[in-house]
Amino acid sequence: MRVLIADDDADLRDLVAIAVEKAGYEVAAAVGDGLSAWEALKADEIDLAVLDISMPGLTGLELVQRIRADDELREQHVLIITANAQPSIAEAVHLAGANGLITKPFQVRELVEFMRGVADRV
Amino acid sequence: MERQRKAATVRVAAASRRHRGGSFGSWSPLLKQVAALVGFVLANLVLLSPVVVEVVPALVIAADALVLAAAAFAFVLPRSTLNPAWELAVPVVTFAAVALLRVGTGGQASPFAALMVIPLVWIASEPGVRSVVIAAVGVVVTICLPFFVGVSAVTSPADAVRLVFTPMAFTIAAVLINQIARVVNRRVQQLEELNAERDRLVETLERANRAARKRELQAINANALLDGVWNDITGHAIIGTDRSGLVTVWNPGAASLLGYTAEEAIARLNITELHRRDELRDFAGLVGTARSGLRDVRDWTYSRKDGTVFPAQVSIAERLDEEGEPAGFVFVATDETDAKEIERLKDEFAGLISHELRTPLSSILGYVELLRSDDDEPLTRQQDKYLGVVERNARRLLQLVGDLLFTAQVDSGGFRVRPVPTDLPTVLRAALESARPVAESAGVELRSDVGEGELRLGVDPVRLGQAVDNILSNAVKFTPRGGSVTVGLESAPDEVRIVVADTGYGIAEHELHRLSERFFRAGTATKNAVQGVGLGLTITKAIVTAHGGRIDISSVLGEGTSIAIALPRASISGSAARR
Repeated sequence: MRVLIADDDADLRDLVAIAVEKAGYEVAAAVGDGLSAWEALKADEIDLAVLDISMPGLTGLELVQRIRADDELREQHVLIITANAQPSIAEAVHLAGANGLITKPFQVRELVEFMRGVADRV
Repeated sequence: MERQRKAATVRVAAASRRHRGGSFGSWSPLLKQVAALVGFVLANLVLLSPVVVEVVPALVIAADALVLAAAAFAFVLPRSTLNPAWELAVPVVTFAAVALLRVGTGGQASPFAALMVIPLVWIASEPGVRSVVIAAVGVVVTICLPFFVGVSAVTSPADAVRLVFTPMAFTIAAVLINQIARVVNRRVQQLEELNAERDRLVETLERANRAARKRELQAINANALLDGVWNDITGHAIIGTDRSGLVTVWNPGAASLLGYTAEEAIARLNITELHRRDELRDFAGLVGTARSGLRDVRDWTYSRKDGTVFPAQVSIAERLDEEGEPAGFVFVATDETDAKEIERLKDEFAGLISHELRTPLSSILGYVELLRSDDDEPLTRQQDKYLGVVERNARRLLQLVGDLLFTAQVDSGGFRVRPVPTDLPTVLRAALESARPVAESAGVELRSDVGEGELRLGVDPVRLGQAVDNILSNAVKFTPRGGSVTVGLESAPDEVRIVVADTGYGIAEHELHRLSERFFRAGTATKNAVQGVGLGLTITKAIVTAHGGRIDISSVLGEGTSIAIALPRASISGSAARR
C-alpha cells in the first residue's frame, strides 16, 4: 500500500513515515504543504492520504473537498490528523468527507491499526 | 421672584419696628412729663399777664419747682438703678404741684384746676385698680386742699356739691381711662405677639427660601452634569421613541454611531428603520419583552445612514410618563464591532495556542512511544523508566493545554453539551476504572456505591464523564495513603446526585466558595504537595452548569470532603455554559 503524508511539521511527518514503515507499507511521498500534496495525488498512485489540517497553500479540509469533487480521486482514502481538539472540527472533517480523524497527539499503534483497516479494503 | 420675596420681607420687618415705637407705654417718663411742663409754662404766662387772679408768688414758684423736680426725676429715672415702678412718683408730684398752684392762684377760684387732667391721665392709664385709687386721691387732694388750708371756704350748697361731684367725675374719668388703657394695652400686647409670630414666620420663610435656592442650585448642577454626560456619551446611542417607535430623543452618540443628525432623526425616523429587515418583523416584536416590564438586552444588526451595518447590543426599556402610563421606549445601543473582533481574536488565539503546543507534544509522545515499543532494540529497565517520566510529564502538559482550551471555550460561550439518554451507573463505573491505577499506586481504596440497576438521564456522557473523572482524581490526590474514596449515586424525585466522598485532608471552610475559581488551589493542596493548577473544578462546574445542575461541597479539615453533582431530572436541552 502506498501512503502520502502531508504535514508542515517535519518531525511529525517523519513519525507518520515510521508508522507507515512499521506497518509494512510504502511512503509514496512526504510533503509539507497542501499544494504539493495535491500534485502528488494527481501524479502518483496513492492508496491512502494522511493529511494535516493546518498547512500552507491548501488546508487539509480544502484538500479533502477538492479530492471529493475530482472525478479521478473521488474514491481516495483520506485520514485527517489534526492538533485541533475542538469538537466542531470533528464535524467539519466528517462533512468534508474524510474517512477518518486522528487527533494529535496520537499513538503510533492507533495509526498503524487505521492503516491496516484501509489496507484490508484496498 | 426671589428678590421680590426678599423685598416684601424687609417691608414687613420695618412696619413691625415702627409699630413697636408707637406704643404709649414705651414713652419715656420725661416725654410724658413734657405735657405737664407745657401746661405749667402756659399757666405762668397767664399769671404774668394782667389778669384778675389773686396770686401768692411763693406758692406758684413752689409749684413750678415741684413740676421741674418731677421732670428732673423723670429724666434721671431710666438712667438710674431704681425700680421703673418709681415712674409713678412723677405724676403724683405733679398732682401736688397742681394742688399748690391752685392754692397759690385763688384756691377754689383758680383757673388752673384743669391741669390735673395731665397727671390723672398718666396715672389712670397705668394698669390696675391701684392706679385708679391713686388718681382719685390725687384729684380729691387737689380739689380739697384750698379748703383745708383756708384759702377757700364752703359758702353755698353749690360749693359742697362741687366738692363732692368734681372728684367723683374725675374718678369716673380715671376709671374709664384705666379701662381704655387696659383694652389698648391688651391690643398692643396682642399686636406685639402677632408681630413676634409674623417675625418667626418671616424667618421660617427666609429659611425655606434659602433651602429652595440651594435645591434650585443643586438641580441646575445636576442638569449641567446630565447635559455633560449626555453629550459625552459618544460610544452609546441613546434613542427615545414614542409608543409607535417614532424617534423623539437622539443623543450625540446616536448621531455619531448611526450617521443621522438629531434633526434628521427626531419625529422623522422610526427605530425599525435602523434594524436589518431580515432580523426584525415589526415594532411589536422588538419591544415585546420591554412591554412586559422586563429589561431586554439583545444583539441586533443596525444600519447606518450610509447603508453600512454593524453589530449592536441594544438594551430596551419601557418609558413611563408622569402618570405612570407607558409613554414610549428607550433604546441604548452599543457598537459591538470591537467586542466581536476581540472575541474572534481570543478564539483564534486559543486555537493557535492549542495547535502550537499540541504539535510538539505529539512529536515527544510519538517518538517516546517508538522508543519504548521497539522490540528489535529493547531499552534497559532504567532507560524505560526515564522515558516513562518524560511521557508522563508530556501527558500532564497535554492535559493542561486541553483544560486551558476548554475554559477559553466556556468563556467565549462556545461550550455546549450534547445530551443523549445515558445510563449513569455505566458512566460512573468507567470513571472508577480509569481512576483505579492511580488510586492503587497511591494506596487509596476506591469503593463503589453505585448499585447494579440502570438509571437513565439525558446528559452528555463524554462531558459528564470528564466532570466525574476530575472530581474522582481530585479525591484520590487529596487522600493520604490508607484512606478511601467512595462514589455513590442517590436518586431523588426531582434530581439525581453523584456523590464522591473521601477520607482525605479536607478543605478549610473559608476556601470552599473559592474552589471553582480558575487557578485557585486550596491550602491543603499546596501543603500536601498535590499536583495541579486549579482548573479541574472550574471545568467540572462549567460542565455541570451546562447540564442545568449544581455542585454541592461539604468538607471538614482532617476528616475528608464530599462533593456532589446534582443533576435535574427534567430533560436537559444542550444549553450553553457561560461563566
